Amino acid sequence: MGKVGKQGEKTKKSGGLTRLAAEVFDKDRCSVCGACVGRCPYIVYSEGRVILQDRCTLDEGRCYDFCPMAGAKGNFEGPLGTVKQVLIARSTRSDVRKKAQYGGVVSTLVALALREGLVKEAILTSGHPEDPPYGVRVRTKAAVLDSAGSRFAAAGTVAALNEALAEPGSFPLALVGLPCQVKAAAAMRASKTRDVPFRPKRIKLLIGLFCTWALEYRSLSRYLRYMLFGERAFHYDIPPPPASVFKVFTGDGIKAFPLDEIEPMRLNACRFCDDMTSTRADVSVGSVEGLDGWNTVLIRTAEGNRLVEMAAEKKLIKIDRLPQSDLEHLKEAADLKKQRGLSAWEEKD
Amino acid sequence: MDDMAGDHPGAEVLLQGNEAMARGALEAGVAWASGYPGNPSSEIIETLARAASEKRLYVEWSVNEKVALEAAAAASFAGMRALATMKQNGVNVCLDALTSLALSGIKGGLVLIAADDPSSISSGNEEDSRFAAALAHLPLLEPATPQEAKDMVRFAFDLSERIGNICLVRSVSRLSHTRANVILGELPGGRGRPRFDTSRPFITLPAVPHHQVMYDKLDQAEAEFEESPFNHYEGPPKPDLMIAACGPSYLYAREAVEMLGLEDRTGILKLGTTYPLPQKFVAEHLAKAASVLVAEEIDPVLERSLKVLAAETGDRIGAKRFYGKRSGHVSPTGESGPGLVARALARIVGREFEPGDPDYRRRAAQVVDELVPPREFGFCPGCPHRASYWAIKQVLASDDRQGFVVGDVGCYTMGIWPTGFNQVKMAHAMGSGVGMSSGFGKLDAMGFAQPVISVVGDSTFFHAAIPALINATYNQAGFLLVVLDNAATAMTGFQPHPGTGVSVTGERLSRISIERICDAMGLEVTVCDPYDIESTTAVLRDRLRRLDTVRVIIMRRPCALVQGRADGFDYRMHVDENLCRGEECGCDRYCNRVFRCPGLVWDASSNRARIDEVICVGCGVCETVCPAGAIVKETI
Repeated sequence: MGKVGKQGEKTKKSGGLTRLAAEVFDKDRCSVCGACVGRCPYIVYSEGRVILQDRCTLDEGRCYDFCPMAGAKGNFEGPLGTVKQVLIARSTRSDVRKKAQYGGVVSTLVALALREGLVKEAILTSGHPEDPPYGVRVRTKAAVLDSAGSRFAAAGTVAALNEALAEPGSFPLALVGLPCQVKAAAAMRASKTRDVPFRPKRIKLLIGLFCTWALEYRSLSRYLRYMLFGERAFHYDIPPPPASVFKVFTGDGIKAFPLDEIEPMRLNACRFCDDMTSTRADVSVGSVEGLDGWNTVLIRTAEGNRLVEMAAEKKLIKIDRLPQSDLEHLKEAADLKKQRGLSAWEEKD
Repeated sequence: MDDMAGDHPGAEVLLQGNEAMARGALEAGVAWASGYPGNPSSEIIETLARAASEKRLYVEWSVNEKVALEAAAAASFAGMRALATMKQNGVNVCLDALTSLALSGIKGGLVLIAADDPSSISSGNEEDSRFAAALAHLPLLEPATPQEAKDMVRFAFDLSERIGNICLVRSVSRLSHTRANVILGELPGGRGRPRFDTSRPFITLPAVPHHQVMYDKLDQAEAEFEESPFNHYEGPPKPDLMIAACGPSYLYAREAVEMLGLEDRTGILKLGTTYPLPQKFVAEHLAKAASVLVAEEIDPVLERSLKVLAAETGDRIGAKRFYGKRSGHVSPTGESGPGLVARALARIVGREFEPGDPDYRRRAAQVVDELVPPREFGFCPGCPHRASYWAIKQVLASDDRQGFVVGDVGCYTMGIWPTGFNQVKMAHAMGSGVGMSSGFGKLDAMGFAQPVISVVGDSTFFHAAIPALINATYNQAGFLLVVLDNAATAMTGFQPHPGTGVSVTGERLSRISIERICDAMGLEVTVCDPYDIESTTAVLRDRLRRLDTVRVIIMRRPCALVQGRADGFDYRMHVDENLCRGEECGCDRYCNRVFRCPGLVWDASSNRARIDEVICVGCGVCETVCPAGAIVKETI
């Protein structure tokens, strides 16, 4: 484990799979982002888990370098990170909004980036709610909409990014991911070490999602199998506070389960996470407290800004201002997560 | 025609110990020979099989040792001479039949050759089968040389017929597999036809009087042993020390005495008929010395018999001091040898002695180190078991229920080692894995949720797994049975079995289908080719999902050595040096460090993997293992 610096920052040492296992897997701290999957034969993603298949003996490896749970933590200023502009937005298209979780901004931005050729391929998370979620590579708006909506379960999405990065040719890529996934992809993009045969410079757009925690797929699926008496689920939702329920859409109507019952199924890794809003993304998107059908949008980089502006110009999204009180709430929530995450790191192993 | 089977009485031929025993059976006019393969016994049946048509005898590899003995007993009941052969584990398998037959008695000479494996060179245990003689009240012979092995087997048939009971002959690996000149005896002429005399049944009951008859038969054998040429004394008339030796330990004792130059002080009591001991003969010679070193292999069986005899005759022969396994002068485990006997002898006479030249041993180790490539105990290149365990490993590793593999007996027992990725967590007797899985499969009611994979070979399936499988099925145990069907009894030398469609004498027989046996139990069976790792993994993953019943996967692919002898393989393999990542991140020598096929070697000079073309057979499996696509298969 890296030492805690003065600003609550940990210095990242390099390591290999042995170190990764000791720091992350053995401590049940894997966030199942998928950054280490597909880079070597030792690590695989299966049914909502990242698994060490065999023992690698190397002292240094990219599995460790890109792991968001190994080494450095809390390397950003303020609970929301760098933010150029904060706004709320919603898609103007009913086909998008029908499929999207909240305002449909993520689907809109990805589809637009594909259409305009800013990227040629996007990495999203897909999978029927009852099946293990996984990363997918999409190139069309239709495929984007097929993957719309949150999975709520950790999905190893970055594995699909690795697959795309290893392919020959030069196609720019986008990734839509949770904070840990965005952090891993951002680390790849920024890395100066040799990463053959991967081509991380292809990562052109990172759209981050807000996340308080992700669920562990198998626990959730066991729970729902038991609670739904065999009824099939086709969609999940966690409405913004203060609802405090986990909604499951089934053929037999919507069932609501208290969030208290769901929360124990969250990944242990999420306890250590200090990033609620995907601070490493180009643009981050989440729900709006108390305002259904809208998204909060945090524009962080010039690329992010350009894309959002383009979507607004083309009238694909409608934009509004986030009330100052809601921004304060968002900051409070993000700060709470950051403080909780950082203090979890200070706990004795 | 083998030298072994030639009709040249008085001719001296070079024979392996097992061939010599086969010859002894031929000289005795054996009509029937059955056994189950297992080191070091296998060549006896194989040798007889080669002579079967010429000598008009019936030879079979039976489905297991119990059936081998029972079938041989039938020939004996019909008045024919019959032989059953097996390794030490087989004696355990047939023990119930053996003790019952001993009670009923037999008619035609019936000999059981048990070949023990000191040092467990090719066994899952190290066991002394001689205890069966005392347990079943049967006479026991222990040959020291191939010549004696032949002569004893021949004599055993005569003795068996005279006392009307089975006679045991115990061999050990060293005797079974050594070669020596053997002087042949006469082969008999014609023999009668088998016929069962319905007026003379063979029944264990009434057990108590029959039990007494067993003792009477042993007395009769002991009386014969008093005059037996298989026992003798050599050495000074009044030695300081007597070495009592049986089996090859007799030769070790002779060498040991010579090495230490103790011929004037040491006598050797060579015993070939070790149960029952000929009391008068032994007592007469034990009386010569006050100290006795017992040289025998594995457990102190002769040592105990001699101590009992010394206690019973102590008033006449005087008190004895015994040296042996109980005193710690020789080890009750591991194979013996001249050096070990000499060391014990030296310790008794208070001399310094180290067997062999320590400098020679050091130099030999050095040469071996330099010239012999380091290879672990492992599956052959192209072995389908490696591919099967690879698929099992991948699937179990990605399953969070902590599933495990219950092993059984065969080449695939090596799944306990890195060659099988240490997947096998249990290995006992033939068929035991399926029995244990039947038990694990019922623990769910107590909250046990770990998936169990029971692996069993094709020959072991027929040998002992079927009753266990019926038990599991009937009692609704849940586990995954993986039959590793490599179309041979591979570990013991490719002997045919009921699934192969051929007999030991080369006849074409109808195959018995494993899947149809499973089908008859109502079990769902999937057959897959372990070389196709991807589909094998998918089938495994799917079948492991729900184990509310026994599910069966047959991983079918002939043993690589069998394939090599038949049609060969489809591919020539090579490594593309430009794609191979070697020790870099993303590989770390995955193919030869983790997959570990000996056909994949590490070329330290180029830091790349390489195919060892001499031993690679071209199965193509490693192509799917390489993360960089650097292992290329070309169809030939």
